[in-house]
Amino acid sequence: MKISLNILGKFLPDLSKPPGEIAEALTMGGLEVEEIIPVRAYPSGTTGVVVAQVNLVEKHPQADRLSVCEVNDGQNLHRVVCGAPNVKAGIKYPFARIGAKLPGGVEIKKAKIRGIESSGMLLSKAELGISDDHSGIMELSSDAEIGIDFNELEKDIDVILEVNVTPNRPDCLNHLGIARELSVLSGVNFVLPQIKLKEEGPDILESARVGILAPGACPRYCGRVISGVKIGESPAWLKEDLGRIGQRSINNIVDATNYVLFLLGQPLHAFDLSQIQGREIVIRETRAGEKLITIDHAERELPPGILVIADRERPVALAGVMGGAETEVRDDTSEIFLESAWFNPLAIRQSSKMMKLSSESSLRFARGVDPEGVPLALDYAAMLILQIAGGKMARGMVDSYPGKRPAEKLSLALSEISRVLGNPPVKIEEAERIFNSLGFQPEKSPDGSLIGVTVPSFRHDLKEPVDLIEEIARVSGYGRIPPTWPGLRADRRSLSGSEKKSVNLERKVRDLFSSQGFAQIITYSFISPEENQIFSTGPELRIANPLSDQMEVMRGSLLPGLISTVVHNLRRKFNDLRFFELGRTFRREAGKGTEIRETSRVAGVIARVEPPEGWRGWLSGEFDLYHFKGILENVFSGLNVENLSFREKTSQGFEPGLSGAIVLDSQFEAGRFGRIAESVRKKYEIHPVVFAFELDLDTLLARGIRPKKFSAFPRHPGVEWDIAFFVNDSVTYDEIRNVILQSDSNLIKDARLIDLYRGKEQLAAGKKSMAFRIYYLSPDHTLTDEEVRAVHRLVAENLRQKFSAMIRE
Amino acid sequence: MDWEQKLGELESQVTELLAQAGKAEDFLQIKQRFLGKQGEISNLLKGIREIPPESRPVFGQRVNQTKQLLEERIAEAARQAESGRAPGSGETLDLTLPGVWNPPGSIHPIAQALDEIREILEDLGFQIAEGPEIETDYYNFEALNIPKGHPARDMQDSFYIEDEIVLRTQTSPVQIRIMEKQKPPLRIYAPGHVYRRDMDVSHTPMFHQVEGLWVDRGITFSDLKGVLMLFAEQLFGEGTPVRFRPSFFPFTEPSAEMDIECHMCRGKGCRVCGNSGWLEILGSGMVHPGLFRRVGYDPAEFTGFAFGMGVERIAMLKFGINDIRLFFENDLRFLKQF
Repeated sequence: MKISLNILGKFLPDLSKPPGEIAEALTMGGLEVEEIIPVRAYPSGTTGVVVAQVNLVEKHPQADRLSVCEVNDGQNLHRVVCGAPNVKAGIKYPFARIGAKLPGGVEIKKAKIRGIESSGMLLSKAELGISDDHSGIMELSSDAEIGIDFNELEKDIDVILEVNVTPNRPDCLNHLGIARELSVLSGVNFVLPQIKLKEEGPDILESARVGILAPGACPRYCGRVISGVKIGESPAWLKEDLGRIGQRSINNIVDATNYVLFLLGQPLHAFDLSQIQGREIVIRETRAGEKLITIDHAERELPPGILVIADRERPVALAGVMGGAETEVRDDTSEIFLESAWFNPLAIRQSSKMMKLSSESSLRFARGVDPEGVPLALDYAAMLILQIAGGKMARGMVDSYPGKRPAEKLSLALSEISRVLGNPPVKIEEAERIFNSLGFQPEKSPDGSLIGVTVPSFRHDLKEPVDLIEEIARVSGYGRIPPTWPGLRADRRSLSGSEKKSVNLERKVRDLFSSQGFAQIITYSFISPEENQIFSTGPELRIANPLSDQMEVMRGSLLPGLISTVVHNLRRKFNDLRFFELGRTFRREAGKGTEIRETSRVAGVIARVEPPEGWRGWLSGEFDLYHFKGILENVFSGLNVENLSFREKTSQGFEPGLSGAIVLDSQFEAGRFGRIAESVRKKYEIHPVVFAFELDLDTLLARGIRPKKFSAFPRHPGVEWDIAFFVNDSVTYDEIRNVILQSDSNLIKDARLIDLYRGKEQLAAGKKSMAFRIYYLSPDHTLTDEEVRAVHRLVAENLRQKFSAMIRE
Repeated sequence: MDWEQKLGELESQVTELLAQAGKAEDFLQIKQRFLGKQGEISNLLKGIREIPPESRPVFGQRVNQTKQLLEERIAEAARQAESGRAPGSGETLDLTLPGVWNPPGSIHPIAQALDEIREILEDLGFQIAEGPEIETDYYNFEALNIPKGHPARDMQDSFYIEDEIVLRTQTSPVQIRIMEKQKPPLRIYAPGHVYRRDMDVSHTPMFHQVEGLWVDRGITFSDLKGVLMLFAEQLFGEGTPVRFRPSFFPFTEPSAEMDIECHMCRGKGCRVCGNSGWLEILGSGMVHPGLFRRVGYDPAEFTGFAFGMGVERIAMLKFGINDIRLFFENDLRFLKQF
């Protein structure tokens, strides 16, 4: 909201603080000034140029296009020949006296122009060096003092404050409201502008009648009629003022209503009364099938039940939102009906929402204007119109006020103030002073413990005692409340251990992956349905009002975001890509209707362009599924997850035969991993092989994480014996290892695969050769060769029996 | 060939070979060929039976002398070759060459900023709480004093799944969820994703917030100021000037915005702070009695304060990042800097 300090001066005649201080006072009072924009005067390199007024303008006897003017420069009257088409008597212009110097070094001398001596020159902006506008001489504001040096005008002629008005303070969406606040916050005297109105002609009821058929939505409706207005351009000051607060000038009538909107906060509308059928104004709800062409020349179908202003036949305006084109003020309008009303905020919000239309008016009505300020604004606008567009005003004002309500009263216990704000306690006199300055008409209870206030009609935000406490804090200043540090009164009992655990898990997972070379990413939770389908099954969770079709569904998997990130970075020529993301995935709970399930997950990808770059690749040789699995195992070991296994299983988006499930306790699926399907890579045009995993952290937390436990280790040495054998290819490592370990769970502590080959010539088809190194250790003594040999034989025997293994000697 | 002659020959052979040797394995090979178990010297010794017994001691002495000599020579040559060479590589040692390493990963700057916020809050005794990202209209709006048609809903155009299901626009619903479950005293913080239907140079449709809530008997606005000043000092450095100014949030009353002095211009006013000298850091306020009534707390008994901040904003200030969109582009040139 743009606030002009000049306009504020209408309400605060004694306002003389520098703009910075004014801004500070407003900001610290809750009206944040986001920007201070000085309206600068004209830069100019002139000397001897003064403000002068043209008293008379006559045609030059020898030249049609020239005029001869009498110019008053505060010292003398000068005769000046002027070629500008816009020179007018009674207007002030910059005037170069004889001897004046203009930018560029031109010196003004006496000159005879077509036989008439000209002693000085009226200047255009171009001649002053202000702009390149030389279409005419520069009009100065009427309050510029005659005779003062033009350079004096170079001061800030106005300052605009960009004020961020919070939604609870619609009363401050105008100059009056800001002035009122500033008066309270800085103690400057506040006055309401004087309104002097002349009523002439017949009674208003002879020209127009008003009927409210929807008193709930329109509690108050006021109007005046002015006839004989002349539609035209607004005077310079009005255009200038509107321009500074960011408004375009339309014509004098519309400008006047706009000006009052920003001055007093009351939206107004002027109808061309001759276009109002039957001169009847009816405030009612729409009926089925009605239409309206609004002033933006769009024909709009009106849904039933919307508040409109209508004449005898049809809607002529969307009440509080936008006027209609057929009854708007036009160049030939001469009789206007000026509307000033109080519409119910809910009604205006509803029609604004249903019509998908909002305006400066609807914004204010929707938040609430001052019902008691309605006639004042009407009269102010009428005064302005009479002043700038002429005409005569009918006697009387329409003021239909079916919704008048008594003023709200609130009462505040003094003790509440310090209970909320803290110490030191606010004295009742202080509270009274503040409430008085805010116009709350405070009244003390006889014992001085309570203070009652009457809520002003423009303050829709004051609803309960705590709101009054905020007023006290705000006006006296938050800075005056001392900071305190409460002791640890809230007890430290754990609120929810699981949330703490899950945050810690996420943090650990994050550190483990980043130390494995993965960069953490954060992607949006919404993706396109096509992307979502690649890695997720089941019904998708759609957003009803997405920003784009690329952000239409809540992700069922973190993988699409990771794959997109790979694509993004491959384009930027990175060639060893490792990313992970921690975040939630979303799905509808099957069979439970609308229930939505959120799951915390971690997922990651590796995409490597082979061969890796570097003077010696850190990992030479092709990066394959086992390298990838090794990274995952590393992380699991860091997390102390031991009860997991990897099972072959193809899940959505992964390559069959090269992917699997991550299973906890042989039954709870916690995630998936493997190579991304060829088809997916093709779709994304990703050249290198991509490995990916996705893990459900909730499952991991519930089933996988075991607290670390120390187990004592024997002080005497163990021994390692190897065993090598041929076995059928279909027998898995896990199966074999388990048989080895279980051969003597007391003495065998570990078995590691140290060699594996298959498919070589000396091997029969479908066979593989494996070698394990078995670690033997007794808990209580040093093992002898005989003891180990016995167990080792048993291992060989078991392998022979279970898998028909052929032991190699 | 007599053994004397043979020994001399071995000596000159070794000398010749050592002159050509450079790499460590060359020396190893030479050593093995001449001094190994199957080496020339050993072979020579095996022929001791053919030596007349009287000559045997001399023979043994001479062979041992030669063996020792060769050992020394080979070792010396290897030492010389090695000085100024990388061991085993045969290449000149260049310690400025980059090490062979696993390229490091990185932790997202948002996560790092969140960690810092979290640590400070936990030191202040706040405990973590979480809530769903897909919320009901009730928790996200109604319970927070934002009824349908409330003007505050204008500030946050939201994403909807369906009529009453919304992507949370703030972390504040967690306040309600926790208060419904637990009686005061209560001191929690809730980090997480939030969503608003806004996307331009300074807005992303998803971002992160941290919410804080402290409810007990006797909690005052003074406490709010003290605790949040402490928070700001820990996050932005001791002695960071802060100010509190009135603001509006439907769920707090009185409401306050906390600013810190602009660290770029030290309060003088610059482009970063929009010439105000101050940077907005978080919104806060005393919990509105309406919320307490809704969750069944007695507002006459309990008071509390709440605060909320945008993590992106804090990360931008701390790391000097000037474009919020960078956080979600996930470009490695960005990520690798953290």
